[in-house]
Amino acid sequence: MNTLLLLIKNLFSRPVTVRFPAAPPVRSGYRGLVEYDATKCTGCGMCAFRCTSRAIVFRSGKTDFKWSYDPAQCTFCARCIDGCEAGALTMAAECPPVYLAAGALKRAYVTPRQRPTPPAQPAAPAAPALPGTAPAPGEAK
Amino acid sequence: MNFFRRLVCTARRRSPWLFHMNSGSCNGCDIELIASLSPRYDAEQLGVQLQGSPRHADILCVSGPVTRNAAGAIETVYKQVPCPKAVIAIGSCPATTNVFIDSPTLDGPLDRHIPVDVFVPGCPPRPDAIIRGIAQAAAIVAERRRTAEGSGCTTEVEA
Amino acid sequence: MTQTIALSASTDALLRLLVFPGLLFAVPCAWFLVWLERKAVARMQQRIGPPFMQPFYDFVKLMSKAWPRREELSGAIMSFWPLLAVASAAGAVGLLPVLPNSGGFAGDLILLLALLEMPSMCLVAAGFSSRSVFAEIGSVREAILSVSYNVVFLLALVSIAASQHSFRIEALAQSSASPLRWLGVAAILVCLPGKLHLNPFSLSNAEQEIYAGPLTEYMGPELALWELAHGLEWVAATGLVATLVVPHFGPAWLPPLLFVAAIAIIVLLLAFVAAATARLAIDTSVRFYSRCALVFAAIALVSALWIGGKL
Repeated sequence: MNTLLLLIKNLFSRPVTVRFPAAPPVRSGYRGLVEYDATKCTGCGMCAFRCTSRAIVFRSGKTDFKWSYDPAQCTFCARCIDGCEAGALTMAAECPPVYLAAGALKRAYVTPRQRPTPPAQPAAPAAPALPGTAPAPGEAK
Repeated sequence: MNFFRRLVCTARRRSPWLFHMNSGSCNGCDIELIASLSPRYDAEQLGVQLQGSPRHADILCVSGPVTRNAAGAIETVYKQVPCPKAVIAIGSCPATTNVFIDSPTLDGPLDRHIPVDVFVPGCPPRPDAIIRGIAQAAAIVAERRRTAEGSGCTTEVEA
Repeated sequence: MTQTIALSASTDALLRLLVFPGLLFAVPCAWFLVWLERKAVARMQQRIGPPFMQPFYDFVKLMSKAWPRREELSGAIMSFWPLLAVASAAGAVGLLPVLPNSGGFAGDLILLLALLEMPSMCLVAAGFSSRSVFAEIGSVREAILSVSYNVVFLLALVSIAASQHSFRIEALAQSSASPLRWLGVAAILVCLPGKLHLNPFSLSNAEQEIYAGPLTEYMGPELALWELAHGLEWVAATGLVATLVVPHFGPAWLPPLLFVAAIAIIVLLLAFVAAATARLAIDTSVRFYSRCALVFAAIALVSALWIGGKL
């Protein structure tokens, strides 16, 4: 009886379908595309090491390094994002699009290597003193 | 004559009948394909019907990286789909074999065996992405001729 | 004189077969009923469902594929069954007395029953002539189901006919209502899900359980003809119930409108049952119908004896 009443109620109420071509919103940070920020990348190659499906390919040269990502090979496990120390990889809130030719979604970035900028001299020494040892030089008594 | 051609094109675009074949998939993509027929996404609003026989369908949906056992079956089923037809590779596995890239039991991505028209990437792809792929494949089928060259389209019925 | 009467009777019959309620009316009506059933089931499941022109687009798309070329004799036999199914379903629709005083002959109820039976017989034969294991299983299921629901169907119609002492559908349609007629109509409604392959008796074309059932090997225009035969079967079966239910009165345009309204309501009722139930297995379906048949056999026998004055 429950089913019959439910069917009659459904017949006279609005359908829950999302009409094509609209789509329900994608939750951010959950199984979306991997986004790469070339300005933050240090070229450590950790993401390619951790990648489960060889979607990220990292080639290191003397003067530059090449980072490429194929969303069609990716399984969206986010191991690369978790392993990136520099914070260059993030997970987008979008899914890969439908495409018609094989390999159409592959992206590659070539980043030239830069000399590292020396860190600025701090006003106070940054090293914390361990308990029981002598205080670091320069620390005001 | 132009009117009939346009009528046939419209009918082919608005009546995409699918046959789904699993070539070794983990079933994630199969579940999302069935979910695209559920009330929330409702592929039937485009006229999509999941058919039981490849001879009834126009669009072959393949999921799974093609295992060695499934390679011959995929080719047989592809020949049984009547022309004009299209092939959708659902998920990343048929497009690039995804995480199974070094496996010795596979026979390569899907386009080594049959011509693929639409790739729907994702692991698994969202149901609305699958529906977008189906709409694209229906548009491709609408523009195809009945006896397309090079796609094995004859009217002889193989057993 | 007899020649002109014979000529007018045959042109009348031809008009009934081809125009109204024959092919010209029945084919769009079949598409409308198929759409109505799919849309109603979809709405009851909170979905949108197919657009209005969907069955027409399906038909055009299937007809636009190439006719399959098979080996000579077995291929010809396979291609013959959908043609026979469409022809018999169209004939069954043509026999329905939608308009009052539309002719007919004594015993046309028997012809109608035979023509209504042909599409399922053609389905069974088509499955066996397909040389495919899945088609064979589907055909066996369809044959078993057909035997079980036909007992109830025929008993119901024979009991209604016996109460009117006539095998003319016209006479049955125009006679006054009685409790026996409503019982017979209820029995026919119970048989309709089996006849039209709807849940809970959708066993023979069990979707993807046995690939596509008896029609697994059919493609292109043959499949279009099968779908058309199925749609015409919808019109004929629901039309039979409608002619038994809807009285003939009023101006000439009223009975056809009431006819269409009645079949739409019956289709909605069938869609409701189809959406609410799951598919029954073969033994449960046969058991259900044979229990029904026992009840209706008793009622039919009692009514025939009572009305015949023997009771």
